Amino acid sequence: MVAVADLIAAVGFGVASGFVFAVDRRRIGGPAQLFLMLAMAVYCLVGISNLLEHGGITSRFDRAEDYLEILFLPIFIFGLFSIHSHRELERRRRAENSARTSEAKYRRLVENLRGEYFIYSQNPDGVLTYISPSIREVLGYDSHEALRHYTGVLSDHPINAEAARRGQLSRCGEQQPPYMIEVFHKNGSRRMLEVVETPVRDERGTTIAVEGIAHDVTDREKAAEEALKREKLESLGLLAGGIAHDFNNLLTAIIGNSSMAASQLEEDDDLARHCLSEIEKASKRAQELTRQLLTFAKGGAPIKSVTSLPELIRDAVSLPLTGSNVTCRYEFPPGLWLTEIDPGQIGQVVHNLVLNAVQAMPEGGELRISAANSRHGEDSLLPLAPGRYVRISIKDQGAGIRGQDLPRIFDPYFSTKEAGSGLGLAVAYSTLKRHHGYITVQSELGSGSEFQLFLPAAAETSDVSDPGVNDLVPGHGKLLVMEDERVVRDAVRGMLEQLGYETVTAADGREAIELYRRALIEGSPFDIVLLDLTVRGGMGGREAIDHLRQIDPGVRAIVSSGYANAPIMSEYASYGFQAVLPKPYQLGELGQVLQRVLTQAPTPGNRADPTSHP
Amino acid sequence: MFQESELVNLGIALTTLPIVIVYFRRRRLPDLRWLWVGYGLVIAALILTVLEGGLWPPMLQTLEHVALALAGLSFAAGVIILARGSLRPNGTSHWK
Repeated sequence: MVAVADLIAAVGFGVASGFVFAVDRRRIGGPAQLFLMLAMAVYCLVGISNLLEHGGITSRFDRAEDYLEILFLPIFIFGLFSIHSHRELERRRRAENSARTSEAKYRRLVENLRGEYFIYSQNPDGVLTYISPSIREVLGYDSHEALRHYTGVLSDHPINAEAARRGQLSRCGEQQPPYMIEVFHKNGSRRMLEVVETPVRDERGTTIAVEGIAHDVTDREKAAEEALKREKLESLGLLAGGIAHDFNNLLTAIIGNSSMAASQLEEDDDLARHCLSEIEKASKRAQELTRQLLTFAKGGAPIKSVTSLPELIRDAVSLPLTGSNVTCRYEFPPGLWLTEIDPGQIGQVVHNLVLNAVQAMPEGGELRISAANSRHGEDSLLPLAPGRYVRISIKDQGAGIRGQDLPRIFDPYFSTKEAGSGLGLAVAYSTLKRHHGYITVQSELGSGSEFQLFLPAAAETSDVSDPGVNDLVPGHGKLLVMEDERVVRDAVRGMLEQLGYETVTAADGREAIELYRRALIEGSPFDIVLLDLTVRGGMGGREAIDHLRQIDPGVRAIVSSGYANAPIMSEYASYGFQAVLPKPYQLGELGQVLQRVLTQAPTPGNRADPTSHP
Repeated sequence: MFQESELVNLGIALTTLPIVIVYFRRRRLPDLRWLWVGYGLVIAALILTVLEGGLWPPMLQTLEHVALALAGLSFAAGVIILARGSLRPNGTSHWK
């Protein structure tokens, strides 16, 4: 039994020793392998010795075996410690390899970062210690340049004060939510960065660095800002459109009544005449203000009339020049063609351009405004239909526009001015396009800018259609006035009666149709119908004209509205009207329009049976 | 009778045993389990060797040699597992 056990022990230790000897040295570790092999060999010899002894074979090795056995434990324990040391070394080596691999991987990621991002780290004092190369794409600087000059790239934007506070908190170890910072690109432009910072702590929790990712969000912020502007503008447009109607109605009453009052004055009542004239002027200015607001906010189809440009330009220039030390020199040649334009919209364009010119010459200077006739054929270099145009030139001696900005100055919301809305030139461009005209610009930095406006000339036989305030055109005839506002209705009736017309009024479209029908049946039809476009809670002019045309295809109707930008106001003929009267209007305008409509040949057509209801 | 070499051996074993146990308990090396078993059996064999000089010599001697035989087998298994386990990245054996 003992001999068998000895045999097993000898074989077991022998196998163990042999295996340790044979196995790859890297598997267990050099010293550990040696110690284990020796320990196992020692006990293998002890087992063999025991086997011999119990097999009855006595040798000199018996005594030596007793002392050899003593070596086993120390050698084995050394072996165990060696294994442990080997394992520790292996673990560290693997950890280091893993760290190196990981570092290389992240370095590759960071170094190959492209586009709108860059990564940086800074020490607790706020000194940048690393910036990834992608900063070149974001801000135009090389990494080493940025490391040297980073303090100089911060702009004076107010958000940078908050950014500095948050950066300080990050360096104190407080994780901060993403924050914005504004910096200068190497080319001088401002870039908005969104920064996410993470404090890096050592084993004791002390902040040893801050790592950050910066994302260029300039375009995103600009888009958001533009969307906000658009929303504001749309709200403004809605508001302006909403108030324009009521505002213009009230102005109609004010202007109408003051016109009537003025016509009733004694010849020598100069003071009252002057006061009424001032009321009319103020009302006209209020009317222009409403129109400008609408044009600024929404544009709108131009309500064209034959207009002489010199007077229009002089009027538009006077206001922006007020209070400035800019002088203006006009050059209007005799024989300048008349133009067919919306005086309000073109006046606004000239006003905007002159205002820009004045702002470009803060120290003063000379503004030269000229106009000339210009013919354009098929071979014109400008995108203009062949025909006759009047070219207006507005030339300043200001700072000029940078070459790289020139292609963008007509873009909406593009502005080189700190407080500029970026809409003035965009509105000018779209206004000219709506007039089938064009606007160009030439500029040289330091030498000033010249804007040229091309406006279609009116037909050669045209006359200026702007009536004077006092040019009363009396007439006679029977008029039906449809107007929902009592105060306006009364004012218009008063104006018409003063002009010599017999007037009947209606408060909405249905009443007007009924009155018109009855007059037809009675054999005393109306000569002209003046219809308000919009009636609150009732039938307006657009629907009423359809019914009137069914009853009487030859009906002569004039559309009137405070919604100057309504499409029907510029395309009134296609809706069946003979003329348009934007509110507010003066006695002279009213008389002239009525006279023009009365002298027009009535539309041919058979009257329907007026007794049939629409 | 107690032999001098056996007492020295036992002395070494009992002196180092607490140190070894404390040290390796703190740093767990699971794939050394069979080596530990072998180590324990060697210690047991040394104790039995010393005891057999005074108490139930035939039985304790047999037990001593059986313990050595088991120790041999444990070490054989231990070194094989150790070598295989060292190939695994975390140093643990799939035999544990």
